[in-house]
Amino acid sequence: MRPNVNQRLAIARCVICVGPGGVGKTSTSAAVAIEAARRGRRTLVLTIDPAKRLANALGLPEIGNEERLIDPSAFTRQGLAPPTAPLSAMMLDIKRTWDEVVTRHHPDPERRQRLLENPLYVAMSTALAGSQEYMAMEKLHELSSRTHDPLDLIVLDTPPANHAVDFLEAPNKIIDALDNDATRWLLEPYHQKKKLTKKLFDAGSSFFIRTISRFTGTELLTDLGELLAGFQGMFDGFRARAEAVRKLLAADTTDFWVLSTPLQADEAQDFWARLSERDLLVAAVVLNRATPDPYDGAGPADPAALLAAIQRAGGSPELAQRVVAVTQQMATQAAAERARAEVLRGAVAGTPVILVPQRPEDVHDLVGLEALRQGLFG
Amino acid sequence: MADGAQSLLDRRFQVVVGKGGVGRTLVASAIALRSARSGRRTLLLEVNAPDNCAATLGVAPAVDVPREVMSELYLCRMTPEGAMREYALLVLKFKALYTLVFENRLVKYLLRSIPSLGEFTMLGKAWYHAEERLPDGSLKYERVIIDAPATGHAITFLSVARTVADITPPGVMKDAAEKMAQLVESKDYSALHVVTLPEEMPVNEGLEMLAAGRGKLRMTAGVGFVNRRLPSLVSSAEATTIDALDPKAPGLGPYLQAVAGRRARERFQGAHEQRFREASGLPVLTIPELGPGPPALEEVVQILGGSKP
Repeated sequence: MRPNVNQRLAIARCVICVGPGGVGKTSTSAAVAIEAARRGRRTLVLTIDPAKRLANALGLPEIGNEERLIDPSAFTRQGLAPPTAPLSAMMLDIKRTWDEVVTRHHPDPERRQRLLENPLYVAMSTALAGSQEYMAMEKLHELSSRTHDPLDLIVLDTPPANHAVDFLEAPNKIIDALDNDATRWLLEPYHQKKKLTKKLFDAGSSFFIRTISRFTGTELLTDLGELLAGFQGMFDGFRARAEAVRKLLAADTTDFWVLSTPLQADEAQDFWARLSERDLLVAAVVLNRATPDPYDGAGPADPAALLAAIQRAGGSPELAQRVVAVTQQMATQAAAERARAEVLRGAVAGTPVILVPQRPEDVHDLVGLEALRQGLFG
Repeated sequence: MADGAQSLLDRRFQVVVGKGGVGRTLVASAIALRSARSGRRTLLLEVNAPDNCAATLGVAPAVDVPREVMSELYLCRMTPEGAMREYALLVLKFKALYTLVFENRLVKYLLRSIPSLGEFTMLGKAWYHAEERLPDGSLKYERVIIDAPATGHAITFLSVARTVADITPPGVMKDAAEKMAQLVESKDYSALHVVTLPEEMPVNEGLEMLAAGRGKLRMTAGVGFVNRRLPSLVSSAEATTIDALDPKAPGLGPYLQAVAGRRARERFQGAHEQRFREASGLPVLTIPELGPGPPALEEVVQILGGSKP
């Protein structure tokens, strides 16, 4: 028997929530963090792009990368049990994290400044595919290895992904995009202390470069050369931290939570399989937004009694029929979702599968998070 | 049909945007099908999202060149690699040169690290098809409908022409970018349609996208679509009747629980739909949720005022 989510939450140092978009990753991450902090663990939840009202509920400011302690009185005011250890939240700002990484790790102050000011750098830091994921990992590494205000648990909310591997492969992809044979070839003169632009546009120096520049324009290529040159000297650090993150992800105190919905149970299974085949620990599969079963805890259903009651209250038999039909429809849907979850349970080799009922509205406040927390941890 | 929606759905260059999972592909496919059925030759372009439109339309998967999949309806996919190849061939006009240079491993690496180059070439392809002419000088495709990527990516995609036009020195690339930007920004030809669900995050993102469209992208706002809206289960008079029932009476519990849950969702959806209508100022069309699965394409075509097959 594998440990259940309650047992895992007592020992995990990192919880990473993965899944497709729109399945409640941010709110689930927050609910997990609240539960851990209630149990006395110093917890930080790192989110990517929270809904505005949820961000407000967590006390997150508009600007990113600032750690905010969640005031326990925010819970007590709503009649909820407060955390017994510090609980903080942070919103990841991709551009700022790039700036922080470059500022902290770039060996050469002058080139560092040129890099930060390069027009393509700004575009790259936000537009390059995998940039979000990579920066989430850089931040995770920084937070997990810090010595002041150490944390017992970091809960990471990840960007929406089609495949679990998008997230895992991001660091290598980014490093590869910035540092490869082509870059080194282009930058050769840089190391020979020649002017980069001279190499680029020296007549006859490069048939390739001239042809590409017919296509892109010359200025763009110069900026690109400068951009790539700007990153020189940083790659060893990138690689070392990517390796450290890889170890962190594989650690037996790092738990993945796969989040999805009953309608997207196939995707959940795919995420589970891809994580498991890499020997990563999936602690739970959560299917949010399950259709609530109207027969659940509401006593017996008697259509004749409903018809009689509605008619007594002046309603039509047709109204009674409609109500019976919609109830039946919900119950059928709920049963189908439970059956799908059961199939999933069989496929994920003992990983707990948790079905969380849909609430009328998206979770956007502490009361909503509390309901979600109860759904997850009982 | 909402005021003004009809003429916006008749424009030459229409882009459909919205948060991931809200039903952009369904709406884009329905707009394209409506247009094709009205006898206009229509090209539906999907951006870097394999097979979604084809699956929605129930036809064979899209390829890199437009292919007629139904009468007057052409489907084509755009990928950064495919579009870059096509664009380079247009510029270089010499295939051997393309192969020699662009198929070079080093060059491929290099091009991949230029941010937004993929978006630029894809938008370039869209522009090319929107301007493509038959020998008699008439437009090859009377309408081009783009199933755009999700919000953040869509803004990059649609702003790339203006950005390139503004930052590059005079030359081939600047000229192309300027023409592309003019099409995107055209007051007469283009429209930006926004799809959302009646929920918090999708509405927020839809409004953000719209603000970017009207501001930075200088586009004409099109039609707003609220997808998967639960229809009212009961009228307000019937609601009063239901509210008068005793939830503790034997046999009624599950029914009242089901109705209460359904009505709560309808109310929250209504509030988000209202917020979207007011904040967007768009003519809004509502696509009802008819079952647990996605709404059928034909129903959406009817909602858009299109004819039956």
